[in-house]
Amino acid sequence: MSPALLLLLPLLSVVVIFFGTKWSGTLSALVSVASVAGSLGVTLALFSTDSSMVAMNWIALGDVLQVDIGLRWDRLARGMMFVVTLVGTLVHVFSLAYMREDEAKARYFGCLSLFMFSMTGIVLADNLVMMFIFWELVGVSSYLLIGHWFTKASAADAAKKAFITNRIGDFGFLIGILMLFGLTGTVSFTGLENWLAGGHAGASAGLLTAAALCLFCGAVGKSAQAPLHVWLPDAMEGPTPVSALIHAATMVAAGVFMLVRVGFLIEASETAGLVIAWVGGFTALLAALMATQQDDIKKILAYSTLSQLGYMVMVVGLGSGEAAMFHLYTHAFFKALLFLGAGAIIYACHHEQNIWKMGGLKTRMPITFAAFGIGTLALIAFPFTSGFFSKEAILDIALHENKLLFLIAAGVAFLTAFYMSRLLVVTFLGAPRSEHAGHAKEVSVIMFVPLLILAFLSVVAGYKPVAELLQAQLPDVHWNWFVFFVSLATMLAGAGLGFLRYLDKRSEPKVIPVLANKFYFDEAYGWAVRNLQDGLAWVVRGLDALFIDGLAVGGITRLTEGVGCLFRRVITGNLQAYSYLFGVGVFVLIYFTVFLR
Amino acid sequence: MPLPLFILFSALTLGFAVAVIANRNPVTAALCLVVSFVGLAALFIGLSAFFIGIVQILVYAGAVMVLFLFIIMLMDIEEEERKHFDRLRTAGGIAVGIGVAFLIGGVLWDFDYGKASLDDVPVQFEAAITLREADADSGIVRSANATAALREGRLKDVALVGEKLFNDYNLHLQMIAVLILIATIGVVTLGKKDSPAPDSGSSGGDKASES
Amino acid sequence: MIIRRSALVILMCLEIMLSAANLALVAFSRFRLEAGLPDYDGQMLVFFVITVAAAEVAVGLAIVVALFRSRRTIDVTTLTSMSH
Repeated sequence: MSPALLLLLPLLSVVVIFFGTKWSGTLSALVSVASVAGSLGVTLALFSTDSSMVAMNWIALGDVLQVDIGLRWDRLARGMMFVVTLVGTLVHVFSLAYMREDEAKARYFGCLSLFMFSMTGIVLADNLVMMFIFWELVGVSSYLLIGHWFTKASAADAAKKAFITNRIGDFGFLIGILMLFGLTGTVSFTGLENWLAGGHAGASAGLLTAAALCLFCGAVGKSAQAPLHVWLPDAMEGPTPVSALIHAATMVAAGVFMLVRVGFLIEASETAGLVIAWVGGFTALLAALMATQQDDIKKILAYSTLSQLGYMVMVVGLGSGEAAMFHLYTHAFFKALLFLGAGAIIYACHHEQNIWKMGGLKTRMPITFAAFGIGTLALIAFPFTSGFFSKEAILDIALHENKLLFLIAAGVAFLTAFYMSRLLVVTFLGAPRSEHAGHAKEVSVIMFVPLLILAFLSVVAGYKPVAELLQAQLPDVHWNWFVFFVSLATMLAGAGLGFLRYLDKRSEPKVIPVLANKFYFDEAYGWAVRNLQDGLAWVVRGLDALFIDGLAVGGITRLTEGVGCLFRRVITGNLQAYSYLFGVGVFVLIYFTVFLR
Repeated sequence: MPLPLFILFSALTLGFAVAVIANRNPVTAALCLVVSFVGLAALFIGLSAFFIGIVQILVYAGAVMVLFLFIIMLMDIEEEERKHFDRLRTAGGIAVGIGVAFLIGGVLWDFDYGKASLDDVPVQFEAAITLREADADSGIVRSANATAALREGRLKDVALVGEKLFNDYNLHLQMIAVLILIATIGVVTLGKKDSPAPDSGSSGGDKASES
Repeated sequence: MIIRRSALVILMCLEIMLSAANLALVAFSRFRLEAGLPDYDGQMLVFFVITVAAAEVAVGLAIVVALFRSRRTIDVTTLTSMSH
């Protein structure tokens, strides 16, 4: 069995769905679920192997550029593939119930398979070009899935926003790839590693930093780091399982994964690492602050995702890819759990997403409550859940590397506990605050089984033997009582404050406009786009109308038209006139050939 | 060809050619054309192209002209009505005609043979016989008949033309045969009256232009 | 050819033009001796021209007949529908 099977299965599913079973939503769903379950099986079967292969030489420009379609199957890829396929499988199953009544089920599942294909490609890619291609493909599938309900204007806009924002980051990514290629003449990870190990000839530290930061731009876009984070909350317009799979567990983590893949580059440049760490820390803090004032259950979770991604990026910048991957791995489980739980709640409450219109769901949806509660505990790093271990590792590394970032991380831990307890209290405790919430019922078995599996993993995945078994990256940290107490104290303080403040409240006690409005990022971007970009566009349009349209393109058309008008007079339809012209032509021809030789 | 005969036949050819253009009655024009072609055939023969001359008479003066006359009768075409000529147009036509005439004159002037007479280039029988015998020895098909005639000082034109045609231009001959076949099919298609198929050449086009 | 309006006469004029070319070819073939004999390559061309001209006249006359059938005229000055 070869890792290539992992790529082919979802691709096959895409092809089958879009060219075969498009007419039947149920059949398409089954095809898609079968393909992702097959991928999971292949991943598990290949757990003990370690291989790399070149499927084909894709581009070969002499000795200058060699790009292969090659797969790299190492521990990093295995761990990531396990997360992707497991969460993918559970989300697919959950979607069976969640999207049961959707009209475009076939398209939905086809896009999910497309996403699985592209995500697998990112994980398995053994060079930057191939990774970039699949990087764009996840962008496309994310676009398609966010805009799944494209008849809703907000969903279509959110899809566009996500895509365009990602483009900005991807532009940097592309430049980074080209810079690296220019410096080293290779784009494969192995080649780059060897080049760095060989003393990175011909590249100054500044160039190396620039290249690393350009690659990081890609991660900023895909992993929604500040200042390109604005697309992720809006992406919640997509179906909730999609949010769980793509915008919490896997795709947004692709940025982190990519940074870890090229971790050797970041290690080589101290400045780049520092910038990355600060961007991550800043994002974590910013997103946590914004999360405290949101009313939409999915947006709260989205900001929480942002903040956790900030953690990961920060710790990558601090030089520990293992810790980042470990947190990615635990986070994937509990955040997918939280999103799927939110999906269950939303489904039960007839697509109500405002937490202030929920309440009292504890007794009506006990299983969901239990699962959601476990997810929350893992997220706020309650001792001996999986999130606890990974966050502990991050805090420990931050403490050793950069004290200031440690403070920020601790603050974020406090805020996380605060907003998650707020979410939990407002949603599940107290009295129902709307009719839908009052009539909510526990969801069907096909929906809560994935929840329970994820809840189980959220608890146990952090323990060393389990993580070892599941091929996760384990950070090399020692138990640190100081970190433990700081973590515990912030967690307890945050959770306690959240409980006290929001228990039995019917609405937000105090609205902080700056936070509720997400630091006015969207407004600022809107202003910038309106005034700067539109101004520039106006000037460019003017130039375009004047030179391109007026002279180059328009000039040619007008010239052609004029000449055509002139020659149209010749086309009289009169045979005699034609023969006359023919005679003149013969005259001229003979004259030129015979007498003007 | 003696000079008086040459003048006679060229005058015949040119004069009746002009008559073809000048006559308004198509029947007269066709008959003038026959005379012009007969003159032309005589000129061919004068240039010792006997075969071509005969073919000219058979094909043009015979077959083609019969075809013309037949069509004229068939369609019952009256004389073209008299129309006053557009002065500018006539002047233009004459200008081009004169121009081309000058060009031809110029070409002949430049061309060495333009000043030569037929007597300057007699057929060189001895050289031809030698060459032909050499060719025949090296296996190239040469008409013994024609060679014998050459020995007697006669130019056996038909044999020589046939030799050339079937030796060097065989493929072309086959292609011409196919071309004539295609032309025959085309004529039949065009001539079919009110064919049910709308795509038969002319009728389809005419319907389109009428609508 | 330019001044006549009857398609038939135009065809005849075409024949005259071809014949003129034939005459030139034959004359050149006679004056340019090849191996002591007239250049029969030129006469071959004349032969083919005559054949093709015969075919061309046949098709041309068929077109004229079809034209006459649909328009009741063969005056080429009235055939200007191609210009629109």
